[in-house]
Amino acid sequence: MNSKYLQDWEEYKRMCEKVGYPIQEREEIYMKPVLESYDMEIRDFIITLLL
Amino acid sequence: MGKCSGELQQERQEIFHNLYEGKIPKRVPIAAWVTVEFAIQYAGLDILKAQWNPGLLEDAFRKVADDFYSDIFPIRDAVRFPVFYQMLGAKNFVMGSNGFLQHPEISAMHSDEYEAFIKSPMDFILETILPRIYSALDTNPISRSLVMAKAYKAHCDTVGFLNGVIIPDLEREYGKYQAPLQSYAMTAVPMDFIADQLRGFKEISLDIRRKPKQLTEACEAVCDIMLKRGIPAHPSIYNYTFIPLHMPPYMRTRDYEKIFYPTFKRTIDGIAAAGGKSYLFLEQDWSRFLDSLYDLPENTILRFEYGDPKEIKKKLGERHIITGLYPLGLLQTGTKQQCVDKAKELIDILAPGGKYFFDFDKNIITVNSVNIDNLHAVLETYHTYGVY
Repeated sequence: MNSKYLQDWEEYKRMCEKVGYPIQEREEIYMKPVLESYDMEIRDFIITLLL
Repeated sequence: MGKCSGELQQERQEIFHNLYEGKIPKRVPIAAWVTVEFAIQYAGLDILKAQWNPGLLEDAFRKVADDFYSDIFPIRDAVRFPVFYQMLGAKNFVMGSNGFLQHPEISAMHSDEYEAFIKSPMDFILETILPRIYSALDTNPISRSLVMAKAYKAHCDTVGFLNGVIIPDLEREYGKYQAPLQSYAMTAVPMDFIADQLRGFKEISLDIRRKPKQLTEACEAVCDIMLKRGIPAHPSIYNYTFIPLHMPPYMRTRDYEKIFYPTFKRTIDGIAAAGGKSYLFLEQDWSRFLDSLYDLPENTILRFEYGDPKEIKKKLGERHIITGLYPLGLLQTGTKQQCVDKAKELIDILAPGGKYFFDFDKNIITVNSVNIDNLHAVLETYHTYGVY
């Protein structure tokens, strides 16, 4: 699967790790555990949105 | 009526285990439940505010559990909340002014895009469908990722929190039937998935006649994705995968057999092969399709909205688990005696031999749609009369 969406997630995760994107402090939406497990969970979530 | 003794809790485990194993239980299990919206109204909360504040819902759930008899925890369908749909700019689920999420007719996939969908369904969903349905994802990559992260967090805070924390805790506290952990899932069968969210009812009805080959191939292409979504982390015969079924009553029988049924059956077979079982909500009238349902894996749960209970019991009662059929409308329009008589009639027809549990034909969504006294009378009748 070469979707830009999933590549974007990788890019976003790398960016968060690398530059400490300060989302966590600002908006409490940078959930590291969620990002670490997104391979399975985000795919499930995407299908869930279409049920 | 709410909390119960350990003895009753044990009885609930036994009657559902017997039901799911195909044995005759001590009494007819009662799976009476209402929607989150009903619970909010019944507890006297503001329906618009409460759906944005899941922390308010526990008390509403308690109020329902305190007041109505049920062997399962009486709240289900806690799966749609406005917060994540609004973050995503959803077009498929939109909050109405009355506080109820509406599902407008949408057609996110065009009629000339079947080939692209068939070639790679998941990529097509991600690249083409998502930004069309969820307008907030139709932006630059970083913003899109942030929107998705926010929405997923909101989903975890609402659906995940209620179904993963609050409801299991309340099940234990109230002594309701407790299924094995992580043994529940929800999915759609391939053609319903394509109809509901990708093509829409009007367009799929044209495709059935004009593009049957491509539609069939599209069902084949997406089947594994829907099956995978339908297999819980820990499949068990003591719980189920919930699958609402939509299109067949609006299809000719030969189209159902050629287009809908093959991947429908493969999905249900796959869930059974993984060690689980399916709960099929057969919306509208499935009387034409009873014979085809017989061939599904044994002890599939079949919840009927309409149909002849005697015919259903005769054709399917020895093989599958039957539920539904109690007409919700009667609770509003009938007398108490009529409601009780209907309950006894259905028990007399459907309970012999087991493989039957109580549920209504439709979901109870609003407080005004039922006479609460009649609802109590029906639940009491099932509890006292539905004894083997």
